[in-house]
Amino acid sequence: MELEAPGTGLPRLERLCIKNILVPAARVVLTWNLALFMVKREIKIIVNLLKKIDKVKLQQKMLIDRTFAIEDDTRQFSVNMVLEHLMIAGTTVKNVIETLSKEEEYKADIKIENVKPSLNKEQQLEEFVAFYETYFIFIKNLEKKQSKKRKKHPWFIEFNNYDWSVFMYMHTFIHRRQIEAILKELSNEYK
Amino acid sequence: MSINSWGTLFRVSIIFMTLMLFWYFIIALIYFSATLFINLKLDFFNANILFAIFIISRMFYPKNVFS
Repeated sequence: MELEAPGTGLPRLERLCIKNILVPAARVVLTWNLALFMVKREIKIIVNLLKKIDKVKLQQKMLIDRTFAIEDDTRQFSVNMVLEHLMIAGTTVKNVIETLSKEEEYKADIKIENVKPSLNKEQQLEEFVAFYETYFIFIKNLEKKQSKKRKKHPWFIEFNNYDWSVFMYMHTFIHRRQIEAILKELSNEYK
Repeated sequence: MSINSWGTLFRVSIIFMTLMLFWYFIIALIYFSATLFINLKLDFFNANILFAIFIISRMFYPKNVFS
């Protein structure tokens, strides 16, 4: 089965719903600390889902039905590839928040195809947890002030530092659901 | 859409409702406290109005969430 190329984007209706309903709603109901709490909760769920799964299975690519808010090419990922993507994208988000918080311009282009995984490493879960620990400390120590400087997300609108922290939660949540779909597919295969 | 996608949308709704309730309880608690310390009549209609004001304020302050 041929999947669409990375960077193709989301179906139009889905992208518009996220852009015009979910993103504004999340910006209304979340705060810096609530967004951080929610990201922590997602990481806890992911770790609990994966801690008892065999490392070989975590590297196995599975074809799944497209889950909400993921690109078509992402449908054939392994769990470790999702974790790697969350780390790559998370590192970019962390750098963007850091730069915008200093009221500086984030000059690098953010492209979806640049945050795709490629390694499918065995020790990905440990690296993933270690990265998110640094992110938690970073946000905890950050001055909670909304920046005037913004950086556009390729699919949505221009986000300031706070919006990117909210995005970090939404992004982790979306990919946690993808991990659940991959695990379901894996359990069906090993039945 | 896949079952997983519908499940995601269901969870999103639950999370948003929970967060809205969280803010509603905080505002209702502040309002209730105010009725204890100031001579105000306790009326949950007022709490709803305060909640609506809070949500509308959050839409535009500290920044317009639609921009």
